[in-house]
Amino acid sequence: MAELALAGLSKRYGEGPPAVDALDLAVAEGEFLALLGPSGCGKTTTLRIVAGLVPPDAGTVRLGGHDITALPVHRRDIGLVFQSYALFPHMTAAGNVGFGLEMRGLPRAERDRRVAEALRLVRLEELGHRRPRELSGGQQQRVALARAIAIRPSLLLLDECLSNLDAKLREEMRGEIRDIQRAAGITAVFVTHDQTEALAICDRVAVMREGRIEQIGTPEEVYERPETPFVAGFLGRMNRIAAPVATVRGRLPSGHVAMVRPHRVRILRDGADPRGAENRADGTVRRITYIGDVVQVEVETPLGRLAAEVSGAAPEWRGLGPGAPVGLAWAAADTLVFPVRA
Amino acid sequence: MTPRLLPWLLLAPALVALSLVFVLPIAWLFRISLNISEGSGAMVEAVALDSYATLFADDFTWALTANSFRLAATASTGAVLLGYPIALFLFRTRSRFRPLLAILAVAPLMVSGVARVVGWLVVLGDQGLVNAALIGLGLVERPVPLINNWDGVAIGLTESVMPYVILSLLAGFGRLDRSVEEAAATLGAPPWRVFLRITLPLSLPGVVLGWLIGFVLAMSAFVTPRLLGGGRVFVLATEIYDLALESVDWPAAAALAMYALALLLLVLAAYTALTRRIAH
Amino acid sequence: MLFRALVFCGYAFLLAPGVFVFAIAFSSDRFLTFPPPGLSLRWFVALWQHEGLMGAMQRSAILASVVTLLALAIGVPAAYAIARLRFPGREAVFSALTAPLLLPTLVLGLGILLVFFPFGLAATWPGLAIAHLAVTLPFVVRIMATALATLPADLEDAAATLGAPPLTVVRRVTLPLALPGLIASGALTFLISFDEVVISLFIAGPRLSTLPVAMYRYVEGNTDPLVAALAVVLIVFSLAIVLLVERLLGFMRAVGR
Repeated sequence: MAELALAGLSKRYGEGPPAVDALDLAVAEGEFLALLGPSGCGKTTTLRIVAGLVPPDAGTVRLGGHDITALPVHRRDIGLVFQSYALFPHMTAAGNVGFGLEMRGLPRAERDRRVAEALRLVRLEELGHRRPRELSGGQQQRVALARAIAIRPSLLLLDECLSNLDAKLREEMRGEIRDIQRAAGITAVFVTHDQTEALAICDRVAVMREGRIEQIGTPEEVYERPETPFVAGFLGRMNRIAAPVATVRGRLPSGHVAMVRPHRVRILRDGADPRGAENRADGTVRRITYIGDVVQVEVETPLGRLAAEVSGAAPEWRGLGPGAPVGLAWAAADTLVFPVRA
Repeated sequence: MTPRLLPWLLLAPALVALSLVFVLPIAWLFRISLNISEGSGAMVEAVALDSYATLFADDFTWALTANSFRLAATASTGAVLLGYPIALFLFRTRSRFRPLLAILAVAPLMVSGVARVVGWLVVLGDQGLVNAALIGLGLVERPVPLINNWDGVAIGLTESVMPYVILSLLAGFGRLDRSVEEAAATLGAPPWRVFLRITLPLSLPGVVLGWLIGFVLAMSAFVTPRLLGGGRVFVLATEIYDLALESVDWPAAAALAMYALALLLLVLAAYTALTRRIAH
Repeated sequence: MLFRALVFCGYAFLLAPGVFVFAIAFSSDRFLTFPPPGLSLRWFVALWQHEGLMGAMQRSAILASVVTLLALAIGVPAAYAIARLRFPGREAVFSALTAPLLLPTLVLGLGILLVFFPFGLAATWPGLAIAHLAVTLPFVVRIMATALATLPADLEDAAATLGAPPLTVVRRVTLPLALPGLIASGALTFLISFDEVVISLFIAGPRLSTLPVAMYRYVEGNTDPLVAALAVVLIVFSLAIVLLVERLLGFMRAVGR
């Protein structure tokens, strides 16, 4: 039985296009699902509808089999970690974590015990007496997380909650969030626009676009087998081959577009053997971008400008410069073909 | 013209004008308060504390002080109570009428004080709106006296300081963040508890600042106590005016003005100290 | 719902005097009676024919114009120095120039009277005009310093790199950009001087009389719909200026600190 089930959810602000458009979604018990999409795709609105902060225009929200669409926020029992953390500045970290328990009328001793437990879970047991402004960004993030899980919610929602941290801390935190979610066995929905984050920590990823779910599946499914050009382009870098091109299975049918990821494209030099790569394109180097562990080579070909990514340590790109003739090759199996959507 | 002199060249006229209408008058006020009054306009040059001695020996001074404090506290409290919902509403609303509503809340401070007193006479007078309504509803037989007494002055002062209080409250709502209130709701707090535990504590600095501003302004007010009080309401401001222009006892008026100024500076010092603390 | 009701109560209280004075101004009755027995324009006609008040209105308009020009001429250069130049003591000068806004006008008025009296400036028009600077000049300095400080500094530098000498930069770049603020603060200054009553009560003496002083004395003696009509005129005038300022600068920005 699905723990969280959204059916026909719609929301429109003012006269604009709908923010959420007849959205259906089911999240299984204990599952960690990512709502991934560019800004304005409706993922945050969806989250806020689930939390009860925004009333939907149509559709239902069911949690654990109960229809909670009309239930006010404070009676939903859903933990939400805000993008801004939204910590109470006038309370200590422990006061923040204990707030939800206080609202539930838990006796003092029980409350203290569970606050300590939640703070230990996020490794902040020493800092319970501090005010939010005396904590670092990462620590504030953990308090917000502890506050949301202290109430033992039936559902945990996370709204872009890593986006205010610097890159290194973000990587560390996303592992921690994953561990805590597993340990607590909470069903969780994580809203993000960062594909790496979504792929790295979630069981399933729902890619959203214009208020609808474009594709939903495991990280591997959505990355390796995108069903639409949008999903293919949104998750990782992608070469779009517009011109008719010979692919494995004959020619590219008209009204279709072919795509290939740059790191699947090989650079052929001096008549190297293109074995295993059924697709070829020759052209001239336009630009070489060195990013450290990866080097991106952009080549102007009859199929358009294509990018190939090779390891910084690889020999293929050495000595290449703008204007140099070069061949590109990639396997048919790596070529994705989509019908062009009107 | 060196660049170092340029700022002072630009500032010179303003500094001269300000010393003429601000520094010099306050200094002179102090100087005159040390003269000895001979009654009916005459005074003797002196450096004496006679006027202060008379002032502090007179029970009336303490009565005036108490009156001023009570009236200012009443008006400011009333203005905070009535202004808080307006300020909170203006702070939160995303209505497209917000600019208009904000102007309506603050514009009265740009309307002549005398004109607003006339408005209150219309509303509170014996044949005014309130009494007409009360009699019409059969609640009272005879008009309730609402002007020419303390009640009328308190009502008028409350309204006259409200725009300033609302501005202060709005400025003080800086720490209030919608998502913090939402967080409290997701943790299970019903609306009234969100207000008591989150909204009110976070807006408290603004409330205190607003109250102090309202207090200072209500205490400084002259036109409202005089015109709505109908000569029956005596506060420090009306007494300074009477001493200076009716009795023409300048040393006494100056001494009372210095006393009132000292009281106000105390409140303003509290205000500044508080603003600093909040800024941290 | 309760919240909405409280907001409504607050507005009702705040705006009651301004709204109901309209009803009385158009009354046909001789007293401030509610509800008015009939509607008429007689009190506006009476106001128009009242030589004392109309004369005072004319004098107040002239006085306010002079005060506005004076306050802008003195205040704008000072505001420019504070907002655009760096010099030691800048903060202190700004605090000093805006300090009179914190003091009760009653104390200022008495002090100014005591200073002006020996020089024969009391009960004269020049004396009144200078006295009004006590409340208008700090205001001009505050608004204009804010308005000038928010102009991007790069624009002046850009003009200078293109070869404009300093005065030309001010004339061709700074002033045109500051014009809305200038007009707005001029309008508010006019209004403040036009409505100033307490300082005027001290300086005007028994013979000179500005409109607020005349109105104050009128209300002390009697209250009839004539003065309500005058209040309506003043309220409409104030609102017109507030709306003008809103268009030019944003009213909340102008009055906020």
